[in-house]
Amino acid sequence: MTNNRISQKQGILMIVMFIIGSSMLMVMGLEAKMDIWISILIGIGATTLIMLVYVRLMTVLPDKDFFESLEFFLGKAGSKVVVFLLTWFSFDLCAIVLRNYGQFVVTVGLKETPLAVAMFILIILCALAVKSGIEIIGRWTETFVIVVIAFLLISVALTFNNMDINKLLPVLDKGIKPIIKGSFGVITFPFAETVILLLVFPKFKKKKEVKKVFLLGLLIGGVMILITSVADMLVLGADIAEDMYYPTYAAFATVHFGDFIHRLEAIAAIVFIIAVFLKISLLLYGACKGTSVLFGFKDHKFIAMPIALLAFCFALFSFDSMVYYHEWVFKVWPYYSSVFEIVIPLVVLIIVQIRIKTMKKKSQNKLYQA
Amino acid sequence: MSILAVLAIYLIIAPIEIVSLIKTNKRKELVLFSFIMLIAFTLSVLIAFDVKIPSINRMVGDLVTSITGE
Repeated sequence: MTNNRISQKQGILMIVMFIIGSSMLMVMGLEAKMDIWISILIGIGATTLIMLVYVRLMTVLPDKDFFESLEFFLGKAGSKVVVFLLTWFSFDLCAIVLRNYGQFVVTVGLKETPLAVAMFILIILCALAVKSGIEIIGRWTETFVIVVIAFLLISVALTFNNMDINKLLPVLDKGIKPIIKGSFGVITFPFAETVILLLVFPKFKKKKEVKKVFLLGLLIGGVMILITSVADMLVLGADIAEDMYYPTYAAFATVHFGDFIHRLEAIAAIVFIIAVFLKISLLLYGACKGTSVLFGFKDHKFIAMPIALLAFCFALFSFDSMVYYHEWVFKVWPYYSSVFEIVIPLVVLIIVQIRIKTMKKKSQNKLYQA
Repeated sequence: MSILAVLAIYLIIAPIEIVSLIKTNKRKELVLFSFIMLIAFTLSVLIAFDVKIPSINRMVGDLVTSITGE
């Protein structure tokens, strides 16, 4: 395939959109209440370290991509296990985010529409995006990221009238424990979900680019999440924000600027739908690519439709109700996802480093003998 | 009613993809494609008839809540 590359800029913007994705509406880290900004800052710091692991895994062999280097170090069976686990994670997350989108549309906008219809339309679009290839998705991101960031910043700026700095005070009222818990939530949903980009990203031209893509993407995306979360807190206050399913949506609804700009919650919905489309597309892309590698195919486009339909089914039957879904995301997701986001990459990295060391020793021994 | 929608969706999507796979002579791909499509179709039919399917996410949820005790 010739057109299987994305530029460094597109990579950064993809991570930014991926992080903004669903988490701009569902604010994580609410356990920390008014100290949520500390939680998010800690989260960004900790994720930087986790991302260095991803970067190392992607660039460990300069002339091979992630899958090939996995096979080189772990052998055929070992690499298949790792790829299978990451593919399952990507697929499951795809279903979960899709369900989130469907519930949002059905509760907020199209109240008479069945959940299945709302989700089906988006997943078919995502499957078509996957079929058109990573380069097209990259260019699409480049076009729409401006809309997302500009809309978000303008809307946050317009809520300025309703902000009350006292809602963030007192700092560190409940001690350090809720902050740590909150930052754990923020790390696992959205920041470290970027682990699936290991499956998605093609090889970049230079080694340095990968590091820049991951870290700069995290920084910009993290700052956007920080801005929206803090704005939610300032406008709504910790207790109200905790009771809401979509705090950002509610915060933007309070905008009254002059006599002519009222209620910007539609903007929040537009931004959410644009960003979530990209997030689901990337997750589906990861699932398709992982599956095709598992079964030894070079092309992954033919499998996009069936996997999209499968994800659609999973999104429908995995959760009974919206209440259960939200409880699950806040209570179970951090523990469940940290296995895939933190434990597996770390274990793989440790094995890779040990293998490199033993290989070096062997080659040195050979030199001495010769 | 919803079973008709399911049938319509699969009858539209599957032939388009299968024809293009046969035309380009991809046998192995066709096998994997049909296999996953069959699973998705079965699940869709079950959902259309309101059958309760055991979900992995719910099992994980029960496991985690039993450990953390929340």
